[in-house]
Amino acid sequence: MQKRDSFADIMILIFMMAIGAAEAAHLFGAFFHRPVSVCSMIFAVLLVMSAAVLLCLWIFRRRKFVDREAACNAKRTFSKSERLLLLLFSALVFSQILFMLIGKNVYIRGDMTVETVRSFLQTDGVYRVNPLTGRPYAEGLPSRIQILCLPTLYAAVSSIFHISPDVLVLYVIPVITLLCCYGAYGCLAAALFPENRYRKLCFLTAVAFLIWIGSYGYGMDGFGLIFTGWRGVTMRNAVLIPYVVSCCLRRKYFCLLLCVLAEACIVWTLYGMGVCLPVILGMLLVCRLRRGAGKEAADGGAC
Amino acid sequence: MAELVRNAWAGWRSFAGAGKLPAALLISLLFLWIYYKRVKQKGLLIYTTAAVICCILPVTAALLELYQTRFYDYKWIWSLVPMTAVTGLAITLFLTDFLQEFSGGSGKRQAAAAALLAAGLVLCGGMGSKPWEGCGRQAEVQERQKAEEILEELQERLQEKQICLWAPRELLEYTRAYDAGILLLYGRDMWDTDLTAYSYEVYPGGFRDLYLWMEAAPGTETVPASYCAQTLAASEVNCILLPGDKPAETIQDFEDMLGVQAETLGEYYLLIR
Repeated sequence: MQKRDSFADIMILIFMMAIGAAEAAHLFGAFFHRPVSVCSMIFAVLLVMSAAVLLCLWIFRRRKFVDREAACNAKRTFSKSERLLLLLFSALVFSQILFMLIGKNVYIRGDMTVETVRSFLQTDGVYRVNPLTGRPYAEGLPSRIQILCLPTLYAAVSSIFHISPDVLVLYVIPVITLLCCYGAYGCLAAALFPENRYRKLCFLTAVAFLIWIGSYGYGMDGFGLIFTGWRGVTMRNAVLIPYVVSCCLRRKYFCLLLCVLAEACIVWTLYGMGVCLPVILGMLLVCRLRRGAGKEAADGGAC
Repeated sequence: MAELVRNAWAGWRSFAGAGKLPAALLISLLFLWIYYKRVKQKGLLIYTTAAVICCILPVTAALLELYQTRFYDYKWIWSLVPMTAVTGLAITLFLTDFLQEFSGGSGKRQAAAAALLAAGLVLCGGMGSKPWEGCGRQAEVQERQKAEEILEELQERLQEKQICLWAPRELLEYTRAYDAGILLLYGRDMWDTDLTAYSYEVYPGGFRDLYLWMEAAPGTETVPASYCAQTLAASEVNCILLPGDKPAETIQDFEDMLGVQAETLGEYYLLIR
């Protein structure tokens, strides 16, 4: 089973690092009552440092454990059917991005992220006022909500790059989430079909198609990605869950831990035990039982 | 518990009735189980099947709902099921393995079968059509633009003064997202009940009356205009926008009670304290 990190793995790891850096900055701002401008600086420094360390490790590991056969396969030219699938996949992804960018295709009911980010920037503080009215809280807010870091992440990015919060939250972040989603499914494709590029491309095209199809209803992966890509639950369902499944299949246990932590930072869950943890436990239990029964060995070591 | 189980069953029926991707998932699982020997990652198949059963059976579904703190609806327990991944896996195996074997390697037959499969999947859901009610793309954009124009003009008229606004819902909906410097008497959580979960804040009863009065058609208000004006006089609201269809006597009542002169702003009456 391929354990080597691909570019898609690095993309998802940077995504999770951004969440980790934002969580650190957010907690600092929320509990020490520090300005958002300071939190933004902390976020930027942590993210750049961790991304640099990750990239160095990746380059070092690639050089040390270079898989010559895989490198040769990667350089192999694309067949006609592979080119066609690649074209179809690119067209589907491009059409989704275009759909998200040119229309006002956002579902904001039950969500106040833009208001929260604007109020963070306006007051230069974390949850100093009620984002929906602009007046100080009389009764406060649940502590589990208070520690979710996405508003601080968006406020930090908005202030660093001088992007209007609504443009960032409603248009830029959903596109990033969509790309990370395909990164996660790319990792899953690599775990499902380790040596068959044609099948990998076929799988990714099917996924892109299913995301378009799934835009019909609230709660579906497609709907989340197309209309509410900035929400924590969308990131969890569309990025973290497929990545968790791919990591279980590839036995990358450290990344599983990161996924559980990332979910706890972005989604309101039961004491952090959200969806990633039961998925991991379920997958590992099944793999363990199959290994115990000697069935994994019969399938060439695949879970 | 019985109610929770009933809710879980109703949740499944509504989840499966809205679109057909859950049906596509069940067909995919059936295909993968029939094709079991060719599936390399059987762990994923077994896990997904178990998770789907748990999400459909009312008792296990109710327990999963309890686990997710009941803050989220039934549909969110389906996050445990890698639906897109497994359906994608089934499609891939169908196209690259099964079809190749049964079409005798004919590219045309394969392409035709793939096109038929794609058409069937399109019928399972939507391709970006907005599934929520009453929000056609154009109407939504126009409403937002109109609200932003009114708010911009309001800011120009009040210059640097801090605005605390009471206005109809179609303006308040976008106000805080447009400018967090504008304060409101009540926010979107007054009509979007999902937002009430994000804080412990409770509006005084009088604010609810103000909201109902503002949104009521002329002549159907449940409280008199004088009551609203009194409540506003005691609040920090310094900027009031009333719908243009409110009768002149109502506007007069507000002018008398608040001691201000109404102006027009777009299709609204503007009163500045």
